[in-house]
Amino acid sequence: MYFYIYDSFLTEKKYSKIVSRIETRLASLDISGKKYQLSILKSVEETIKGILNKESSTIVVVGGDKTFCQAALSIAGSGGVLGFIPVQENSSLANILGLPVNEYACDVISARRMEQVSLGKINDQCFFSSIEFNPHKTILTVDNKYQIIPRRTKIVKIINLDLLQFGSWSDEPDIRRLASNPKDDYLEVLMGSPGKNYLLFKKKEKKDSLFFVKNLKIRAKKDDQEILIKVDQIKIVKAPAMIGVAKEKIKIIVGRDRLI
Amino acid sequence: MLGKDSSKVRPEEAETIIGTGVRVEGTFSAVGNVIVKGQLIGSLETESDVAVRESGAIEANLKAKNSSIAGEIKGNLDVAEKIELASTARVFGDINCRVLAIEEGAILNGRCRVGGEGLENYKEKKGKNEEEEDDDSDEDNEN
Repeated sequence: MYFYIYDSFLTEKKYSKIVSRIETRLASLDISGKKYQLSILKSVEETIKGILNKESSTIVVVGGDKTFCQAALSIAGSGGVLGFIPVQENSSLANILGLPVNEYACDVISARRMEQVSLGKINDQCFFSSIEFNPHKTILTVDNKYQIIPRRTKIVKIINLDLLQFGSWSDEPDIRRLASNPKDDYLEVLMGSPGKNYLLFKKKEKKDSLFFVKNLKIRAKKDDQEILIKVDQIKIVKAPAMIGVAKEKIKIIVGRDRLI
Repeated sequence: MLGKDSSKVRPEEAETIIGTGVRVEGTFSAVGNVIVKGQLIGSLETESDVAVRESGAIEANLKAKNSSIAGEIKGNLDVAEKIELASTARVFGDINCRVLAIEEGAILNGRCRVGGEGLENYKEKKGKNEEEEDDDSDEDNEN
């Protein structure tokens, strides 16, 4: 049985044609299912919880990366399968999972090619894609063996499933794009400077260092210093933080051109 | 690795990069190749290859399969196969490897053991060979 969770922004009028094309394609592939529309009053977590109480099934998120990340965290460990129909053109998760956008992704859902991926863990909560923070005056302790002391890096990105770059989109051709491997016991730690867009000029992002770690502790050099860690672009967690790979795994429907 | 034409990144295949913007302190052990462009203090160990770029500075004992050095190392190098010292390399420590290639201009300040066998093993082997030669000549004389 298929359950479709529609992102809250899809209620906007400009998406109505895309939504109807997706629904037509799903019907023609004979994979139509129950539709749930997200809103301010209805979150992904409670929607998925309601679905999983009934039966183990395939849940498909129609919408953006953030909602897909939230759905992945909610479905983890339940045995359910998660699919994604990206509606935003610049979806980096669609790029990684090898999914075309809009109604073209319906064929991938129908094919049901699956990959099992792990989740990352920060303190006692899970994350799906990546976490980011400014490494100024921080110390990173890896596997209790060595310390990484950032000196001239402006951003640290710890990746479970994401592109090995700081921006969500890059000018690099597909073949030169690198994604992390979410199927092993390692997290990728990418350090460097993000790219910036000025009026006429474009500053390219700079990748400085790359580490593969199993466990990582982030702490400030001074006790009174506050470090904010952005988790999956949704939540903020304060350091000190312990980061690693979680035991929970999820099954995701992927396309043939996936990067993982 | 950050420019390699492959989308999948696996630690055993990919390269750990210690960039110019970081300093690493402690016992650093990696599963794949390691490129050092920044600073490392402690020890460095991998079953694969290590490349120390010109900007790289290591104050550590290094253990690897192959190593190419263009930066500075203060520590001993224990390499299973080949060490390549570029003209900009500055090594202050002992070297143990099977093959050593030194470019003109490289600084090497330490003891070298190249070829996998030490002097004592060499003497033992030479002694055995001489004994065998003596035995052969005795047999010839008897005939």
